[in-house]
Amino acid sequence: MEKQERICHVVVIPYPVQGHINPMIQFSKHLASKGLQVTLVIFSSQTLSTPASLGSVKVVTISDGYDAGSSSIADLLKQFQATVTQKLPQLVVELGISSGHPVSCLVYDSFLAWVLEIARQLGLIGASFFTQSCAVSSVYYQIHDQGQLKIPLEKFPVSVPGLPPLDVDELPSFVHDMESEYSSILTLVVNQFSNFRGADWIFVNSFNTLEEEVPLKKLLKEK
Amino acid sequence: MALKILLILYQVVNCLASQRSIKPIGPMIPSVYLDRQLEDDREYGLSIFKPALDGCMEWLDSKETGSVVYVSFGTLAALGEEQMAEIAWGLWRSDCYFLWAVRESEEKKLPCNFVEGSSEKGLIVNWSPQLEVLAHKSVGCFMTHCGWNSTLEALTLGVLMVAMPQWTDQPTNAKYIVDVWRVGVRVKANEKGTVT
Repeated sequence: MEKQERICHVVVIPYPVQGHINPMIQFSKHLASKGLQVTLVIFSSQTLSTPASLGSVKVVTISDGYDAGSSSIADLLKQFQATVTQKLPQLVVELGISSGHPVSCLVYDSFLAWVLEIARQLGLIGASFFTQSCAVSSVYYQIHDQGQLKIPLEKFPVSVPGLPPLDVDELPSFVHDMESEYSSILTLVVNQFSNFRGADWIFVNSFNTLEEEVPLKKLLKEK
Repeated sequence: MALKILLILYQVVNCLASQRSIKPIGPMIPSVYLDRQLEDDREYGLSIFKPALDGCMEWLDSKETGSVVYVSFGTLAALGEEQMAEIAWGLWRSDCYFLWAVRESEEKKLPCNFVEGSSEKGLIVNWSPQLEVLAHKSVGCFMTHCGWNSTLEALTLGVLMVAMPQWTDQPTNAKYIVDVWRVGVRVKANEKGTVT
């Protein structure tokens, strides 16, 4: 019997809003161009006119189980996590069977840090993809784990290593806009760092010359 | 503008070869606008909104180089009615042509009869093929909510920005656009938070 060539199969999982989907689509295309099997999985309740593929990237859209009711952001995020946690393991197996190439890696949006646990349970490599800038991520990092920024912020401008001083209207809105609905988004963005040291890779949608001074990279290298 | 960013550091193969480190892989925008590493890669390929293809590019073709302000606030931001009116009259009174992407759900916030009344100077569409628009020679500047993708697209295509951040990471992106990369200006809001 002819030995089948082993091709690395990567599953890419964006946070389902356009601004997060776009860069992860591009990343998927680049991986596919290097000969990898890539499946982009979009958990969404929106009626997306999703093509079955983008070039050689396979696209799968799965209902995220959102209820159109008046749930809070916190409830929606919880529900989203429950749905993905329930559906992803089975999906990974099925994608492996249907393509003939078992999935070996999950690339997940850093907003969905808990996907790393699913990757680990399935014995897969886990890579976190930060779709926002290093500067913004650095601000969130400084809030995580009682870093240099304490919420609520009291004095402006604030100092974050490597960044210019940031006044209140120059900071990401969630760190000072304490409207109750947004507190769950602040938790979401800060949780990007909850387990990032455990990820096998971290990708950031930025480039060196653009954010040279921002020490996020150095910091992550120390992990 | 000298800022034509061609230096890209996504080296996917290397990424996969070296473990446990961070890789800056951006800017993740369609390849045709960068280094053409991917063949015929003109658009992301999956859009929540359908771009207006009817007339948008032809309209730009009919305008002089650098004479059009392109305005878009992305897929999520929702401006107040008063703010929409301020932008509308600001564009109307400017010396520029304008192409303004106003999502269908936001259209009702435009001043009465503005679309028809301003048609000599402006074109309002529900959604636009943004990369194609930014790459068009008629576009002189981009009035933007400073979403990170819009920011990277404008930087890559060398389009100066008028920053009007709304929420989430946008205010910090605006700070970098104005004070770090110096490729744009930021609008000022009054005490009510409205830009007039």
